[in-house]
Amino acid sequence: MSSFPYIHISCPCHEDRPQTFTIDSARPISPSKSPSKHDFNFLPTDPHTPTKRRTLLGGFTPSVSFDGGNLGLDLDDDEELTDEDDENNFDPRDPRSAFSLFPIENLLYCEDCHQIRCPRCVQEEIVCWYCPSCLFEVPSSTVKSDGNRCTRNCYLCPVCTALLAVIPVNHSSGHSDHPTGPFNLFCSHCHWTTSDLIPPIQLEKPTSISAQLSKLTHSPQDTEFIRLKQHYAQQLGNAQEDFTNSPAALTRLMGLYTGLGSGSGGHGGSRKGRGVKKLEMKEVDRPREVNEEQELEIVERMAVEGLEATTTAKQRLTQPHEPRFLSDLTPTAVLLRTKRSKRCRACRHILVKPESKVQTTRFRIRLVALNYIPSLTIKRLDSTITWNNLTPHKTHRFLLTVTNPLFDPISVSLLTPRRTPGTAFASRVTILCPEFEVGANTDVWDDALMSTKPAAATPSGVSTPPVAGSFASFSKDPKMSTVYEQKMNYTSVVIEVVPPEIPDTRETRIRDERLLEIPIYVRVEFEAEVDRDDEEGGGGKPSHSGASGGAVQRERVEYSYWCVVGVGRVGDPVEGVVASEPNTPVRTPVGTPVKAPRTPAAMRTPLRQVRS
Amino acid sequence: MGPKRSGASSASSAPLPPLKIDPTTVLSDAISFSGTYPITIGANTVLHPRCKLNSTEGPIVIGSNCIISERTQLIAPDIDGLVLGDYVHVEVNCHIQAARIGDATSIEVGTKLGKGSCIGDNCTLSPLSTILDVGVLPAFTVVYGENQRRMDTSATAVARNETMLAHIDCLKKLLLNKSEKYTR
Repeated sequence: MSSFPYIHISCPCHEDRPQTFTIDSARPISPSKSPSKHDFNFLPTDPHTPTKRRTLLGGFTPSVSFDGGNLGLDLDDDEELTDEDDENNFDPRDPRSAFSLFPIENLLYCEDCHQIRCPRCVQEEIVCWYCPSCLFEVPSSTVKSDGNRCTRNCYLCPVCTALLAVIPVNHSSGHSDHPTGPFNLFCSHCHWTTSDLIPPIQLEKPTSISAQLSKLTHSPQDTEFIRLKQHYAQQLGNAQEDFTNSPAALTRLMGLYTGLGSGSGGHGGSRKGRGVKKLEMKEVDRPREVNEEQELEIVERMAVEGLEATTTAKQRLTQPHEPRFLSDLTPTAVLLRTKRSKRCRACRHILVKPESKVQTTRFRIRLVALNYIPSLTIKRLDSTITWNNLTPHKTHRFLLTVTNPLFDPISVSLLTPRRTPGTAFASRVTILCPEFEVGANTDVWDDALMSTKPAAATPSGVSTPPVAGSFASFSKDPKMSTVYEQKMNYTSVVIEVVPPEIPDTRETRIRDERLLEIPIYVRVEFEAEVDRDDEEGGGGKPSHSGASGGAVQRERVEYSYWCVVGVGRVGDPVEGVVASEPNTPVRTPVGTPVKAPRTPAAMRTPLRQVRS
Repeated sequence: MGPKRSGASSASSAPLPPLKIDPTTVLSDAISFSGTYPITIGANTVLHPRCKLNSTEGPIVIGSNCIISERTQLIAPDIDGLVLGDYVHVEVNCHIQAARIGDATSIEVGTKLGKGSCIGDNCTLSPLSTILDVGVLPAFTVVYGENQRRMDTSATAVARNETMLAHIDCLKKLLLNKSEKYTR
């Protein structure tokens, strides 16, 4: 389990129907409009029904609804709406969700599909193979023929896996530029040398080590492997001959599949029935030979040399001949690594393409989600909160910060189920001020050079940012009034969480009921210039609009995603902190004894104004 | 009272412990000497800036041709003191309260040697290894990985000593010798 707090973003690939951007210039979306049921129509329905989830919970029916209370909606009265929203809710505990939740750093973004792409929905292609030690590129044909290890001079210590160096065996005190052999491979970390082996390996030249080593280390396993390879190559040769020469090859190939489908019993019969010659593949059916004398010898050697002389399982398994004694270990060649490019599985466009040159770490293409979707971070507002031990029935206040990577100001709506879904022990969650604006991610240079950005692009709140750490006092826009902090390209709002008392089920169940995860639906709207250059337009450029060049058109772009905030674990109940009346909305401070000694009145009053 | 010490040690006004320093020793700026027991440093030894030698509990003896790196603390554990042999290389950020460290031992970055531990000759302690209090390492031991140990049979000790000498020669060119600051 990752440490708290964490924020994972749900890739849309977990849904049956891919969720796409709603680029809707015809329908004007006023930023002051509160999200209603209508706004969620574009949300794909969960592939699993809520009834199924309820049976999982043993008859418990959580009353889950979007918290519209702050926005002037009273969802308590509307049972239908509650049920329908329940269907739309993202359940972070659903087994299916587990596969689609990733930290934003792991996500890519496809500019053509306008979608988040997780590691599951990209396709990897190997750009090149290289040795991480000598940084030489290995052609893929060589990889196929010689295997996936460095064939030059790179070897690893079999004891501690550090890189081996070539040193002369007989140390000459004179500083000669050309040391004379024989040479050893020496591990500068654990001081293992090839002289430790029995018999010791000594190289004649300090170069072309692979060629020298392959002559010197020739175990019976190698000869066995060569024998097997020869055998199967011969078989394969026969088989290929069989396939290419026989006119019925294709039929027989197809017969292989149909035969498999009809059950394993009827294989031979069906093939014979079609009159196809049966291909005979002979196994090297020889049992593994255990030489008794050899084994006894090993036992005796163990008795003499003790446990210290034997290899650990890790050391043994990295060697092809699985040696039991340290003196039988041979240097292992360095495994090659790959550079990979990544494609979107849906549209086949390249999302990540590294420079094919091994020495450079640059990328030609790198569409990471961090540059396209606003990222969320969560902080404690009250430093006495311990993430691993949240007090039941206490109102915990956290600061949710939305950072805008785009070059356009965005308006963000955060929606969360009032009670965390998917558990019998739902916590009550309230986002104070769920709708707000986040300023554009302007460069420092832009500010310095006084860019040509229109003044209207800057949201009203940004021009006069409130003092950090203080609640914005009454501004004219009531929507902005409860924003905690608004700076250049980020905005922070307060989120309140009241966890219930939860029994500790870690021992008895697989699922940790005390884990408090809050699903938050993030909806982003912004106006993007249609005919912008790529480097300017960020991710929000709608591709389909047919705007003629020159005229700057602006279009409203809207997209949304689910994310899950792992707030922490609920701890044991604390005396004195009692449960408030169930089903009382958390946001009403009156009547809830546990909350709000520190809450400034200014934080709440505007909310009332909105509602009235 | 000797001349004022600069750097990290200048803040404290405590007097220097009695120092017995060979004239060929290189002492950098801002070395912190503290304690009351004598500190002896052998010939051709290099002390990097900001290393700390504490002789409050006992004397410290450093042999010849040693390198003591930055931010390393040498603390004498008891009245018998801390004795470093010759050709000892103590890397950056080590915390050493050992009683004895043998000749040609290499102690790498961030190693902790417990109180009164005893390290033999020609040992190698890989980065971030830890020796418990009163621990004893026999000669030619290599501590590597997750506190695994093996015997060094590579016979590279002579070569490593030569490398040490070359290293010290290089350091002598690079580091400013401020040993007159510490000598009274």
